[in-house]
Amino acid sequence: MTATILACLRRDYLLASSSRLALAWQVVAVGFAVPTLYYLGRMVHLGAVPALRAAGGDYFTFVVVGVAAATFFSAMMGACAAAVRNEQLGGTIETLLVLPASFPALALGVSLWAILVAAGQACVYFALASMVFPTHLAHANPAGVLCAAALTAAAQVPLGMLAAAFVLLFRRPDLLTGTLASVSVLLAGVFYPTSVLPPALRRAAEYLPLTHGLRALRMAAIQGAGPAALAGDLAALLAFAVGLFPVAVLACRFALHEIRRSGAFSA
Amino acid sequence: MIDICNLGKVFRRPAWALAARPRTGARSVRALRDVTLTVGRGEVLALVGPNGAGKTTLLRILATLLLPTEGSARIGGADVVRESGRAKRLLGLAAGDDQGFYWRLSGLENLEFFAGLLGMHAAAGRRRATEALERADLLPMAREPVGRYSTGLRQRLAIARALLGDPPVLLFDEPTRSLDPVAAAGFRTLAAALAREHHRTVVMATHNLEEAELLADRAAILTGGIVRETVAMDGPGGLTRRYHTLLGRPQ
Repeated sequence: MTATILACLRRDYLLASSSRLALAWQVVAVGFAVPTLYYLGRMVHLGAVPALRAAGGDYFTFVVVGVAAATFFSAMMGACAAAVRNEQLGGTIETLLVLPASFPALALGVSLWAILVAAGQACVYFALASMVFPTHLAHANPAGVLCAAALTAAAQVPLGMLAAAFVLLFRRPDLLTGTLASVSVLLAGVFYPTSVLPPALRRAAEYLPLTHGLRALRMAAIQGAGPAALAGDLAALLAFAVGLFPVAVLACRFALHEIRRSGAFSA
Repeated sequence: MIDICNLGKVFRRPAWALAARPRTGARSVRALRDVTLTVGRGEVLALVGPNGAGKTTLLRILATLLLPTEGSARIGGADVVRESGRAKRLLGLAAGDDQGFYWRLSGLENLEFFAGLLGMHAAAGRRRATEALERADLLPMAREPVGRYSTGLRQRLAIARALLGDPPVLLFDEPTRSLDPVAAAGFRTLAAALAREHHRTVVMATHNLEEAELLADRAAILTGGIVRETVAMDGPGGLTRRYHTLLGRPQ
């Protein structure tokens, strides 16, 4: 398994570094986004939005945590499906499936580079935000942040597996991740607190893992809340992870069985 | 080494996929019917037959890429359906139309990646990749991006990839289709050496009857998914005559 993952990482590094400009742009883009969010935040007066009180009344801190986390978790969700699609379009998927590497190792291996790049982007968000601009992240609770991040990731991974199964089966671009990412931006509280949404949408937002993930992350990163204080959202994330994972495994198995039955591998 | 018993394959359009696929064409196509073959260790079997005879389908089932509809196939005792992981470790596959490479990476980098998927760590993978490139006479091009390879060079790279894990069974689908005469002769020499000296089992689908006569110990003639006859090589022209007797001569 290690050899497979390392081989995939090395391959993706080589492919990414063959276009250094594109690789550099992924970091530079964050450098443009952070000041944009800062100046946007200056339009929101301290205390003008009661819902921001939980974020220390500072919109910039609120939105930086939201955008950085959403970037990372969306990449985590979409990485595997995007990699599968690339292999389909490149005609390499058959070659991968005829080799004895296990599917879980392959799925993790082909996703890891994109996840690491997204993690790097999230780090650049936080580094730029806390070093260059005034933020309210000094009281962050590392244990709370770690628990919230780990459980959000655990809840997003099965969604990514479902998306990968969809791409394998239908040989179409990943509609599931794109749709979920858009819905999450609208409802999960990336740019604004969910409390500003109408009641029906607020209720719908509770069915998205990212809503709980962002709420827990903000409480831990901005207010310094520990795992005990985040119990409600952490339990919801755990329920998503435990509930979705078997479904995702079954979907992947079904997709693999079906493509071996039909012989329809590439796009 | 390879045991195929009453193998059949029908391609059916699944009901759930109706929305995603063209609705025209047959709902099911029978690609293989009741195929029974045995290939021994160190033996070369050629699969010959017209287009659509089922040669590639048979190879893809053996390569664990396709599930048979009926019957069974075993490679080194491993069932290609129930023990596909074990079967995969025993085989190498190279197809004539192989697109399965990363074109921005060099031939060596591609093979190092595939060696990783075979479970080899970096140093061992590089060593095996270099050896495989040498066997396929590709060392001078090893550091060139695959995008700059000609079709024939990519085909040789596919052969090198099939040799990477030094598997006891090699499956070749039209291995010399895009090769120049010298490279094709080189492939035949390599395949013969693998079978005769290293006791590798080779199953090769080809339209080139002369090549089959030169290389194979036996040939299975397929039409319409059925093995019409298995012919032992008994001198030049024997297979060609039998093939044309069964299928008619080209006008």
